[in-house]
Amino acid sequence: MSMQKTNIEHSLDYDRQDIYVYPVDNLDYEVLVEMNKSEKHTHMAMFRFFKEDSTIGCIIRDLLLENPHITFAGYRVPHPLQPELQVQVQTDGSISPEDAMIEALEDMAQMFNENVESQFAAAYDQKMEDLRKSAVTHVGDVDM
Amino acid sequence: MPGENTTTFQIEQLGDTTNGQPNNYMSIRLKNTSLAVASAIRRTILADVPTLAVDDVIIQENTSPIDDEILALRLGLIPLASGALADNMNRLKFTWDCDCSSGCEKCRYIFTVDQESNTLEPLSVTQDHFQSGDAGNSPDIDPKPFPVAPRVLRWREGVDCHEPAVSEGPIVITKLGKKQRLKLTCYARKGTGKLHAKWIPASNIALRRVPVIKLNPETLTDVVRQCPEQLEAYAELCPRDVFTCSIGEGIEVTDEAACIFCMNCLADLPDARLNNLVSVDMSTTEFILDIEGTGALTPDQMVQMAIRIMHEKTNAIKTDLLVRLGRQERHDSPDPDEMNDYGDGLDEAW
Repeated sequence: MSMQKTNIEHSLDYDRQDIYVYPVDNLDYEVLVEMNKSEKHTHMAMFRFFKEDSTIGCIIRDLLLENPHITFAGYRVPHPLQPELQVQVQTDGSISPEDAMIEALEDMAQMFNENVESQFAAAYDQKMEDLRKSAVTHVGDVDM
Repeated sequence: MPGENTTTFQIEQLGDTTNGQPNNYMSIRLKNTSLAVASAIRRTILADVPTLAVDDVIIQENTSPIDDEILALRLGLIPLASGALADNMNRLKFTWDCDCSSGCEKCRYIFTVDQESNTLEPLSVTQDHFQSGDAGNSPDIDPKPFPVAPRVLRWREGVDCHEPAVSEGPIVITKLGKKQRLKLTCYARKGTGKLHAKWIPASNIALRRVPVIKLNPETLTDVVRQCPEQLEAYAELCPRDVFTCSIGEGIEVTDEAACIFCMNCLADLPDARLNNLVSVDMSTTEFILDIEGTGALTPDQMVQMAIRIMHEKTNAIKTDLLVRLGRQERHDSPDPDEMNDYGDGLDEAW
C-alpha cells in the first residue's frame, strides 16, 4: 500500500487548530478522506479519514457491517497523537469498497438529519410543558 | 437498515428552570439507537460543540498578589454563556476562519475589568466585575455572552427534577488590598473542546446502558410454593431496591432503571432454589445520557448542536470522497491550477 504524504504529516508550520479542525471556507484545499486500494486483495481498500477519530469510526464500522456484501470492516486510530482514522473494508465482490463506504456515509447523514433534531426539540418541549403543569399543581397544593 | 432505526429521544429528567434560570442538567433516554450513535453524541459534545471562552488577556495594570499568567489561566476557565451560538454557530467565527488578521468583532467578544481597592478590607474581584461595552463588540451577538455564576444542583429523591440550584456566589478571580488595582481586557473567542478543555460545554457527561431485568415465571412459581420465606431476603440482596416483595404473591421488578449491574441477585444466593429466578441483561438499543453543563450552553442546546455538527461533518466527508472518486464536482471550485496539483498527487496514491 502506497502511503501518500498528506498536509497533516508536514504540518510544522501549521497552527495548533489546523491539526484538528477543518477550515470552513477552505474545504476545497483540504483532504478529508483518502482511499488506498489494497494490492493483495481485489475488493479491499483502506480509507484514511483525517482529523477524525472513533466518534465517526464506530458508526461507519457498524453501518458497513450491516451491509450483507461486506466480508470485513474494521477501524483503528493508529496513534492518539495522530489525528487520523483508518477504516479497512473488504467486500464479496458484488459491490466495490468505495460504493459501500459512500452508502454507509449516506446512511450516517440520515441518522443525524433534521427529523432527528426536531424530534429531540419536540421531546424537550413536551417535558418542559409537563414540568410547568406539575409546578402549577404544586403551587395549588401550597395555597390550600 | 438505518432508515428504520431512527434515534428517538425521551427526556427523563431536567434541571430546575424556575426563576428564569437556564437548566444545567438533563437526563435523556435514547431509544431505537446503537451504542455507536449514543457515544458519538457524547463525544461530539465533548470535542466539537463550540462555546466561548476567554482566550487572550491584555493586562494594563496588575498590582494584585496573583501573577499575570495565573490570572489569565483563571479567566480562561470561567464559563461564558454562549447561547448566541446555539441556533447559528457561525454568528461568531473561529479566529482561523475569519478574514481579519488580528481579531475583529466577527471573531471575538471583548470584556474589560477595572477594579481598585480603597479600603483596608480586601476587595474580591469576581466574574460580576466583567464589563462588556458596545465598543468593539458586534450587536449581532445576541443573547450577549456573560460569565455564568456557578450553581450546585442538589438531587431530590423521587421527583422528576433537581432541587432548585443553589448559587455558590460568583467566581473570585483575585483579591485586592488597599491601593491595589486590576485593569485588563479579555478577548473571548469561539473554540472547541478539542483545542482546550475550557471550551467544553459539559462539566459531566455520562452514557449508561439500560438494564433489562426479567423474572423467570416457572422458577418463581416453584419458589413461591417451596420456599416463599427466602424471597424477602432475596429482595434485600439488591442495593438499589429494584425488587419489591409482597408476602404470598412473590416478588416483582418495580424499579428496573435503578439497577447498577452489581449482579448480587445472580451470585451468592442463600438458597440453590433461587437460581435462574432473575435474568439481568443490558439493552442494545436503549441508552441513558446524563448531561451536566458548565452553564455555557444548556444541555438541550448541546445535543441539538451535536446532531447538527455530525450531520454537517458526514456530508462534508461524503462530498470529499465523491470528489476524490471523480463522481462529483465541487460546488465552489478553487483555482484550476491548484486542483490539478491536487489531482496528480492522488492519482499516484491510488
